[in-house]
Amino acid sequence: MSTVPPHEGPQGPDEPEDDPIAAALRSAGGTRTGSDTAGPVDATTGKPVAPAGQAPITGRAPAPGIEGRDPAMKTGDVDADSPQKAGGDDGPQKAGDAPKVSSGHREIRTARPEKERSHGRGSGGGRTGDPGRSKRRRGGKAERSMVPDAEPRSYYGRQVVKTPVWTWEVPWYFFTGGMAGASALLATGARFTGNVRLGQSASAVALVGTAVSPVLLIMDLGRPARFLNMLRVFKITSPMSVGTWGLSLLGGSAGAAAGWQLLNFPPAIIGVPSQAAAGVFGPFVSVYTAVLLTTTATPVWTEARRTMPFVFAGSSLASAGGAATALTPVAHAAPARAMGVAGGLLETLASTVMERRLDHRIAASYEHPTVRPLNLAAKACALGGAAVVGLAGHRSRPAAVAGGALLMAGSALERWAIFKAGKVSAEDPIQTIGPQRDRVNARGTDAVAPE
Amino acid sequence: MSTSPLSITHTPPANRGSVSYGEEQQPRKGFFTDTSLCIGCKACEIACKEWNHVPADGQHFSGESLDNTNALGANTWRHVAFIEQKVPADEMDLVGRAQLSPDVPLEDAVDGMRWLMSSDVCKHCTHAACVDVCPTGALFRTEFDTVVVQQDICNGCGYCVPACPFGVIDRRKEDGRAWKCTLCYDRIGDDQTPACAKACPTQSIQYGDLDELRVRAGERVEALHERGVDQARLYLHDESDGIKGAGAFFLLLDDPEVYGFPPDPVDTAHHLGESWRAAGMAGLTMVGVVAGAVAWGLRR
Repeated sequence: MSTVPPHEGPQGPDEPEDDPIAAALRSAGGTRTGSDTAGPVDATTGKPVAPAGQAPITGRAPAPGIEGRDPAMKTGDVDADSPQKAGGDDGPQKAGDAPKVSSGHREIRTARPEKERSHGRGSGGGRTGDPGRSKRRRGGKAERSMVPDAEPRSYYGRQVVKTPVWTWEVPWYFFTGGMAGASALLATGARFTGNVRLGQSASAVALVGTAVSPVLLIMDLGRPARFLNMLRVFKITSPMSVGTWGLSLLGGSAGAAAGWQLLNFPPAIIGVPSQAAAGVFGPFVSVYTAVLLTTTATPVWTEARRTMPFVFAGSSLASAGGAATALTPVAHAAPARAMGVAGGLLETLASTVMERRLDHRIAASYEHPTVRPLNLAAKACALGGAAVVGLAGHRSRPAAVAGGALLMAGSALERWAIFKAGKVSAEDPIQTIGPQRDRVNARGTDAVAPE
Repeated sequence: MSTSPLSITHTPPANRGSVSYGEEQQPRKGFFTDTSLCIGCKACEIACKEWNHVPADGQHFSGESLDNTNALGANTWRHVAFIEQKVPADEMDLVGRAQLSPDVPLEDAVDGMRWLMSSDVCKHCTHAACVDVCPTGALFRTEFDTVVVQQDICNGCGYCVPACPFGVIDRRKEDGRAWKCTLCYDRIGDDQTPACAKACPTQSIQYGDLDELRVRAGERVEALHERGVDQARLYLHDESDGIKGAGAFFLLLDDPEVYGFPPDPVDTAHHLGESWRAAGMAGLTMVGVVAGAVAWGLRR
């Protein structure tokens, strides 16, 4: 089936880049037979011909597709305002002409006049984003290529899955929650090995993080006043439900532990078990957010389900290590520095692996102009922060503060890159349809062929 | 997606999505949308809006086809898609003939273009991702095995929106909650046909017991094949797909993606095991890194 949105292949210099009609026809399925060949010029008259069915849509198309039947009509004299005529409704005479018509259809690919090029881009964003954008990205290319290729078909280039409705609070929550979780883990490890000073800074970070996180989550709700409905059930199939309970438990335990570490209240009999519990819930809160994202239909998230948790783990370690490095005197901060450096490296490595393992169509999300700068900046900050902390963090407090800040920035940017990539991914129908079509073809179950 | 239309699977109760309603359990209800009968009148869209008091969602001129509704969403629970395809006459006449009636002679078939129209709706999946991920329990499965949002529970977390593999459910901006087709829960409980099916003038939208609809759909595909419409195939009609079949399934005349459907939809919750295993490993990695860091700090 040669259809439609032809992706690769030659592109004429006069090809209308922005022809929404042709793009729509292509993306909506266009012709169904496999024998189309490129033929921008009508064989009989030498004039450009237009695909059938275009004139009735615009009312402006020149010489719509009647070629192949009556040479006189190929010269562009058809009244384009007459949709019926242009649409090929020529009744009885048609029967005998059928073969010619059909071959005519195989030849129609047009060079369209200048005035057509800017016309009709009125699709103007419905709720689902800007359909024009995806068309521009893929469509417009190689209109003449009728070679079957891997480019899947779609409905006018419209997205299949919905764009996540989450807003800025969510990536920031991933950052604060991840940092709080890893900080709780560090606070536990440091305090239980006698590094009281480091335990105090880490538990302070955990306290602040777990205090800010629910605020961000509640702000993102469509009905913030109903936040407590989250706690009316525990659903093992919902990462958000599981995570909400996990965050609540971390909040309680990290809060009590921070009180114990910083104020000596509550007393150790409560503080020690609380700190231990925070050390368990902490890593959970740091990584469950990855499961939250991968349990969606957003291609760039769900297809990364084996790797994204490691990105979030690294990112959490980097931010918590960075924060504790910045907040703790150099002499006590050695474990924080090691944690920050390891986290920065893990974050960079894991995110690189994550992007490489994705299907190339899906990985394109990370090359999108709104994502790529964030992604590159995240890696630069993570590696730069790790370098500064690792090389100078043990000598100079200012270097430790700067390196720690860089690690935190890298962590936040990484969350933002992944978050934004999800929006881009959902809006691109090819990322949803392409890999799914490949799966169906590989299984060979989609058996109903036209011939 | 399976396309062997003759393997009609009657859903055994054990494989149904619902938890037990006991004696109140009803036969599973659903829609069979036969797109070969759709004339694109959009009566289903209007009827749905009127009955369910779905707000207007603005006027968008797509400039692409007669479809200016664009997509399903919080305020669009039925969406009629229009696809215009160029088709060579030798193939077209078969399609055209079959769509009219078997008696129309070949030469009277319209050639050159075919129009595919399809009324899209929530699929009421057997394994519904929206139900799986909903953290409040607002999304639930009714005694008819349909999927409905309890609007007095939903807190607008938005998780169901990216979870749906079909892009059906969405959050209503001015309201903050998630909305979608209820399969007219208020009507079917009273033995009434859902508004869209009731309004459909060509029986393109058929409502009824799912088992019965599946049989009817299989017969319809067979009939179309006999008339030469080889492209006719069923979509989401049995349990061979990634959502274990849908309550609302379709007869299509082309690949699903042409209509805006995903060709191989999967309930994302099927991957939970894989995701949590990876997350567990990642969490252990964190513990290992911190343990190592602390130990390294002690040694210095």
